[in-house]
Amino acid sequence: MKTRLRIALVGMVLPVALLVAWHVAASRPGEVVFPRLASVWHVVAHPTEKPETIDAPSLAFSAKTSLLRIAIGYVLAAGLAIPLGLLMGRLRIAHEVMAPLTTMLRVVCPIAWLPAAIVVIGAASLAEHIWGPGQAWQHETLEEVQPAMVLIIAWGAFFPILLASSSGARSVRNALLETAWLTGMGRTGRFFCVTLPYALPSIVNGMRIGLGISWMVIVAAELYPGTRSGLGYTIWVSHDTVQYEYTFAAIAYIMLIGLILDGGLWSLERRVSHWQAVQR
Amino acid sequence: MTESAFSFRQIHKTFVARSGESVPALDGFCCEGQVGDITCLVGPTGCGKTTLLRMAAGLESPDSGSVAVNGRAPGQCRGELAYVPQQHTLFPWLRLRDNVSFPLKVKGTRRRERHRGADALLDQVGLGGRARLYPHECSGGMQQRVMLARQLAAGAKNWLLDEPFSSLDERTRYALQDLLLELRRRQGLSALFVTHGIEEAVYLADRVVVMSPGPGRDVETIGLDLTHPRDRLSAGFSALVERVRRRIDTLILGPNTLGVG
Repeated sequence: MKTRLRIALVGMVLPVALLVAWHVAASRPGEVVFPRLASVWHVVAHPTEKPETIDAPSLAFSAKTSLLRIAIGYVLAAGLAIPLGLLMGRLRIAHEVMAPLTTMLRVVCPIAWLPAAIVVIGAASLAEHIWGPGQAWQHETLEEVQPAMVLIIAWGAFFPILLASSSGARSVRNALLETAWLTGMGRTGRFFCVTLPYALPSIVNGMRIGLGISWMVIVAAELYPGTRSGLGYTIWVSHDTVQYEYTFAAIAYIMLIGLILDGGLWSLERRVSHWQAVQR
Repeated sequence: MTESAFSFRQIHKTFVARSGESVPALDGFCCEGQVGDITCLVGPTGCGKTTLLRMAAGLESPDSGSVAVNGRAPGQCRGELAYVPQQHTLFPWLRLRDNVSFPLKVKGTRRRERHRGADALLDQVGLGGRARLYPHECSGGMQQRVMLARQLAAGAKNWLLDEPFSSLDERTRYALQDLLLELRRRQGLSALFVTHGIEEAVYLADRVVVMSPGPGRDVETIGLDLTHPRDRLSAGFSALVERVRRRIDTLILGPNTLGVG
């Protein structure tokens, strides 16, 4: 417990130092870029209030919209990348077929695909796709989720998860697979009882990286034409109108949500990789 | 005529290195292990002992020649063979109980039943009360005991052991050797045991197959007629060890050598 407290305190040193530096910078006369901490805190502490000075919904609604976009994109990415990565890791032919293409695609910044995604998928929201343009307005949150944007987020998260799954599956000790084979276990059993548990720490690590990239991508993706909410959108709108307390409040929310989600995955990673730390 | 548990006939095997170079491993190896016997394979490093065990397990195939386990191809004996390699192959994410009960899981035994069985086997190998540990929380000796318990759970009658006790301290090694002999006595298992230790071979085996330096072939089979249980401290045992050691040295290094111990 004492160690945990010590780690937490040590971890707080830099953020507190940063806040002090910010306070000093914001106290300079005529300072525009750095708003006072108190005004940022006011926005952060009242997330349901609709901003009066910028054309954006409340931070709570924006956070909900961004989270939903990320959730859909991320689940889509993980749902595709994990099985494909495992396949690439275990089947040489799958690796040979997919590796050159994935190497070429993953070096392209996800945002570069946004114009193409709009052309191919269109600018309509998910609500419009599901319920049609006439009924879409009744589904406030889903009307803010554009499939093209979700695709870009999925794109960002896809490759780290794919590579981590593939590398995890490839690193399975052959002796363990042989042991399972010798017990009479079939191919499917060996996959679920040996390959998957062995690759899981690597997969979860890839998921953590993918989640971080999703949050990086969303700020740019929420520049998408027709977007009316989202933390990224709030950042851009408040920047245009020089209302930086909203900019920093939205950034603070991204950091907080990112910290919580990453914390969840970190704890999952610890659970599934407890045996790896000792083996290393 | 006694039935063969393991049979190798004219086994040839050559591996190809990454550089494309051919590395011959076995050159016409022949040997038979009888049902209920422990046969030790002794030979210098690189003579193909591990390759032979892997062939008997169905994990490698010979380039030419035939391998049979109880008269059948090794691939048809999955689930009936116990293979204990040099390095433990316990599943690191599973507790000892789940590692031991793994073969029972494959057979579809119900969870409660297989856990009960695993606990009893862990008890049998002297690890009662350690069922909830993970492999990395165990010493090398404990890990080897768990390996033995897992093979017992599989109920295999034919055991392939590749220097399973080589990395253990003397006391643990003796305890596990006695455990193996006890299992042989109670369950009538047949074993092919690879070792570099002449004393270990003489203590465990009914016969010792001496292999030539690689590419390996059988040069002689030495029958050990000392009755079990053998007493390591007896004069007869020491004399037998010395006789076998001298014979192996002569076979491998030639008649005018001082021996390699």
